[in-house]
Amino acid sequence: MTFDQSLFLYLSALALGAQAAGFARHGGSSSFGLEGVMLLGGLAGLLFSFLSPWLCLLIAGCAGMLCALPLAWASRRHPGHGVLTGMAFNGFAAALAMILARVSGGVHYSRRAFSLEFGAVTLPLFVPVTLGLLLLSRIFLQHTRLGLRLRLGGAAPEAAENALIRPSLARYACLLCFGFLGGVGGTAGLIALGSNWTLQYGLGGLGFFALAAARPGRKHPLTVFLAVLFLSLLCAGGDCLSPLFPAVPPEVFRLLPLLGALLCARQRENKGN
Amino acid sequence: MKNNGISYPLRRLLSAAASLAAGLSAGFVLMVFIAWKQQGSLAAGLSAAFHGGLLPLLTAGWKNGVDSLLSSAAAVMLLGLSVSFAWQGGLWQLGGPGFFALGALGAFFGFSLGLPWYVCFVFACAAGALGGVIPGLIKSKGRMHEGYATALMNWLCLWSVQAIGKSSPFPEISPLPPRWLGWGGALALCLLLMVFLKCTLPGFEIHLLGRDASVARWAGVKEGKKALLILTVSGMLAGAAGGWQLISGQLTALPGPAFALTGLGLHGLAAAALALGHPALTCAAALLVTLLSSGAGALDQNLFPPETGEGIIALILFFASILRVSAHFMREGRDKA
Repeated sequence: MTFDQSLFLYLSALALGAQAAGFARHGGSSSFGLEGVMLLGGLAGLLFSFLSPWLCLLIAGCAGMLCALPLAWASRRHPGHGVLTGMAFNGFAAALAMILARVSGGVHYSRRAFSLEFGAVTLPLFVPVTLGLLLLSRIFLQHTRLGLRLRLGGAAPEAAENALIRPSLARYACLLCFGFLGGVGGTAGLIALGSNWTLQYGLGGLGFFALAAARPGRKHPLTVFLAVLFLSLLCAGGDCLSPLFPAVPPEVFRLLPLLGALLCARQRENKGN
Repeated sequence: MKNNGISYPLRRLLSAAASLAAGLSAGFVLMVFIAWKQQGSLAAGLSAAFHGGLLPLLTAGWKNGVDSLLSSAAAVMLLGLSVSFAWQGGLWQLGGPGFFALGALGAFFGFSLGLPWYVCFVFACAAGALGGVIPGLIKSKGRMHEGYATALMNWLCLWSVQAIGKSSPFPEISPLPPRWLGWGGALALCLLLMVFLKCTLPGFEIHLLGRDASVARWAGVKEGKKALLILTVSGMLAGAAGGWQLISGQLTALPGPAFALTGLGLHGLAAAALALGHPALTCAAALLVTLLSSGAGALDQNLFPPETGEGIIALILFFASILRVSAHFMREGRDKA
């Protein structure tokens, strides 16, 4: 895979993951289960890769929504303890992903099917999909009546109840959007990690990178984009540099985005304070 | 001491039993699904899931004997204690597997130098503590949520340890320490932690931070310093678990990223969640989780993939995180009232 294709795929996965985390935050829920939602949603999409790629993405999104339902149920009961439920879900998702991959005889897909060709230029299908979904999310959340209601339900549940909005419904709706975006992003993430990737490693922490990227951008979407771009460059750069330096273990290149994610997540808090 | 007619200890016990029952029921549904897919019919799948799945899961762990069970549970106890200790201070420690791997690396380094096992164990504890210091410092200085810091540290440690493990030969480990020392040490550490939390000033401050951070701040507790202490001790306990696994010959290779989401780290988290962060109950819950994971090894290999047991333990953790936390907050509500 060329550097630009890898970069676009990581960019799509992380941008969609970060937007998903944004939806969870708007709904007043924790998004620690993002890694698991992305893994199961992405895997479900790739298991149906014999269908049209658009249908695959739809399946991935729906599977992500299905995965987000138990998280929404848990967060409705105890919104402050999504960390533990999220980690439990991540563990379950990793085990279930391996079981599903074994039972269905492995994950087989063609990366070419998820590409768009414009003459000599080949662009991953995820680029227009990500742009469209991000734009739609932004318009929906910031410029529609329903979006305002969802944000109010998460930010100020008591005020929302006074305005005859049911906060629990708003939370469910936000987490369903979280699941859809996470599922589609997970498909991009799994394709970016390549066909040799072992599902034992889950998504290798991509969900946590997306969470780290979403943290600096609470104030403005541009900061999210910059964080996502930075982390995607580190991920794609690590993947492309690894074969050029056979003497260096490939795991060393996996450390780059992790260090970047630690830096990203830390910056926001310093700015905030 | 009653809430809705049920005393708090009974409520804890009931919710632990409910989370176990809910987790096992959901796990049985998962096994039926897998067996149905393999056998072709629902009736055959149900029968196979019961005889080849649920029964061995619940009974096989007992067959190896109590000594074997306790030996296998030592690492889970220590990992559970590391999560529980952080929980007592109101922090989420999600980097257990990473610190576990660092501890194993510390012991590995000691054995490579030809040092005796007890010095290697000290190396393991130091390596785990060093791993815990980093998120502790980030939490105390940078004020990042400790969940993110420890989760990212988890992956960082696991990838690093795998990179080192691939390039170095695994040392010969002999002589092995007595097996009882693992679980005996874990129980002694549990007792020590309980005494520390109940009878010392720093312990009381940690306990206060866990119960109500704003009151602790008002009382002059230095939150940053305590977070550093909590995460360092927590890392040390997880490192001790990794070191013990290697020293006792239960590890044949250094742990890698496959440990990040499943494996012993998940078992430790499940034990701590079932016990609601109580050190003594964590040890008891660790025995239960080890029993289930030993039982998972006896599942019908032709039907169930090896990850089935991990999925069931994750389900138990999921339900425990909802039901047990529910019991905990009912108590807090009562206390505040």
